[in-house]
Amino acid sequence: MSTPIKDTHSIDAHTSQALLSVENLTCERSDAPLFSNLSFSLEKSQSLRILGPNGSGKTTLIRTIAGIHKPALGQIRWSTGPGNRDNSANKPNIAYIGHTTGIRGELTALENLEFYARMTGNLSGMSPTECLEKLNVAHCSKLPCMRLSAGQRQRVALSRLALNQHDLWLLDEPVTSLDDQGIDLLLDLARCHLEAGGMTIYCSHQSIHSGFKNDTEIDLRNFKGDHPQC
Amino acid sequence: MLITIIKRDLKCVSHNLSGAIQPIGFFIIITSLFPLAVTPDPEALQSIAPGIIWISALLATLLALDTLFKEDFIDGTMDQMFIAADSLYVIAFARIISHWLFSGLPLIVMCLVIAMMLHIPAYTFDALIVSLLLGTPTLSMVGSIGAALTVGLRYSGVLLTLITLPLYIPVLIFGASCISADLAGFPWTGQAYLMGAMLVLSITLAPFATAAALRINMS
Repeated sequence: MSTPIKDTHSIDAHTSQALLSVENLTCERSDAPLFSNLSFSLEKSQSLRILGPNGSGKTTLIRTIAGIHKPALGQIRWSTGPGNRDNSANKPNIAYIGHTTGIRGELTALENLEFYARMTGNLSGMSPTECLEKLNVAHCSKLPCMRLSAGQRQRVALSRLALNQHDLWLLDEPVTSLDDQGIDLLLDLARCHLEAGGMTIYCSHQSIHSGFKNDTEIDLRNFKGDHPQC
Repeated sequence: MLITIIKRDLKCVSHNLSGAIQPIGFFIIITSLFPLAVTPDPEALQSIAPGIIWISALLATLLALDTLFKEDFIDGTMDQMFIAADSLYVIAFARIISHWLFSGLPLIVMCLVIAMMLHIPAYTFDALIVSLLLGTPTLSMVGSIGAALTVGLRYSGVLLTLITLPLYIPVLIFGASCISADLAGFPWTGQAYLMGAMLVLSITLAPFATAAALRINMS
């Protein structure tokens, strides 16, 4: 194994206030390593931008942190708990916005959000309708989501972020199909989230990093696996 | 969590009724083809009626299996539910219950009409209903394993049928023999007990297998 180059922007993995620390993470797709020995940590109110070309493992990294993928090697630790995800009292509250919206086409925007409010809890003090207003899609809350445009559906998906005070946002290309106003509304939400002590890990090919303070970056090219990528 | 998912499925069905009545429509059509194709003779029909009802019930259940997890899987809801629930077991169990509510339960109601059409006498209705009540949840449970295994495939219909139908054979044998025994005047409790045992076994084990299969497909 070649020694990976430690990224200059990443913080020491053993900082004491770190809420989330990722240690020596290796992820593979179809038995070919995407990246290996990736370590970073995040503190309160910090955001992390994942850089890398297409196919470098940005989505895989985000899904691994969300707990959907299992890492091949390495650990993801939460200092709030022993990293035991079965212990629901210590379970970090994660919001994940992926390539698929998680919005059911048959249901209206409001019904979709009410479903998530019941699934994940609704602790931000904002009702589902108010969450939709945050992203300026409250006017189509009564329409079935299959009749909404891709941008509107993405806004409905993003309004999930306002339902709770999340510990961590995982945003995978969140501004795809959003217009300028939508991006501004998302960045407003993100500012409030970071001010409240939340963390964000995101990747985006558009430059939205101006909206995130305390931004750190990791480039997955620096952690590329030994085997050539096909 | 379980109830939240089932409630959402109820809402989805209320917005999309045409999709929900497909299995029951299929059941009615298939069963009414037999008198047309085989014979309209009451005695002959009566003797093959248990088989007709059970084969049609099996195929109607299969029809709704394909979308059991696929819609949630494709639109990303499965990821979101997994992050929120942290347990695929609960999600699988909730979806299986919904599946039975929308394919098994209407079928049991409708089978009384079909039974009259096939000249099944009224005194066998108890055996008919008990066998379907015990059998159709078993079909939903066992079928969910196949549905979870094929959830990542684009066209999974035939593969799903090939995986699931052999596993349905025990239910088919005892379900049909439950009704035939009662028709012939024999006691049918033995078959019913065996079907109850199969139901308990599938409720205990199938959601675990389904959750494991979903896990493989998600990562």
